[in-house]
Amino acid sequence: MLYTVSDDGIFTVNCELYILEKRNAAMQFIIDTGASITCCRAKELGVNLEEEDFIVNKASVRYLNGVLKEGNKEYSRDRYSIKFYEVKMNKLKIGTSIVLENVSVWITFDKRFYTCLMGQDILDKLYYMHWSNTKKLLIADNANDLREYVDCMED
Amino acid sequence: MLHVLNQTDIKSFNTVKREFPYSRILMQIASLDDGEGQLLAVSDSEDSDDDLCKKLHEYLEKDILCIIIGSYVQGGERNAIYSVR
Repeated sequence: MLYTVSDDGIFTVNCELYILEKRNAAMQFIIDTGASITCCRAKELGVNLEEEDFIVNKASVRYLNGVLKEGNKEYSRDRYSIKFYEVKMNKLKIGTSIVLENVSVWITFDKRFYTCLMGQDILDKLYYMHWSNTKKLLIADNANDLREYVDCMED
Repeated sequence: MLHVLNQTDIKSFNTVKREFPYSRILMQIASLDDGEGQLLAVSDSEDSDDDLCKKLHEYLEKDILCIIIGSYVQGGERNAIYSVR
């Protein structure tokens, strides 16, 4: 179990990503319950990643609609779609205490997108408890850890 | 532009993000559970974000744990805000 503290309403977690046995990257993800997938910029996962390799290898692709404002014009979902490629992780370590295996992180080579979001595909596998008075978000990979924590608080 | 700072004092992520708004910031940390660390470098434009990523991987290759923080729009209207829904 780990906890993260809100920064102006934004919760983040530090993660290590392993595509094979080797640690490929470390990055801070924003916990975004509104995001459907976990995603980041390609260069943050690996500086040698090239989009052509993903095209040749027919990697799974998703087009997602970021929010992009152009002057006073209306939003255009098609024009502003961002293309993401799936990268399957052997292991994703969240903090020092949570390890998830066989999860995917979606990467983009589109430079308009440059942050790291932890979306529902991974958040679905975790349990949370929010303490509003401390701005803490407790995260665990099993419910028992959270129950034990609450029991300790009540005692 | 990429600014390599290599500061040695420990600062919280929130402090550094306030010091360098609209920037991506490379921080050395001791543990994945940390919310503080040493400021290594700052990218204040999208043009230098890739260089910041190179720095990140250089440090990771040397087994120095670091992460990039900061998540603000830095290209103005040309950038997508972190909102993939």
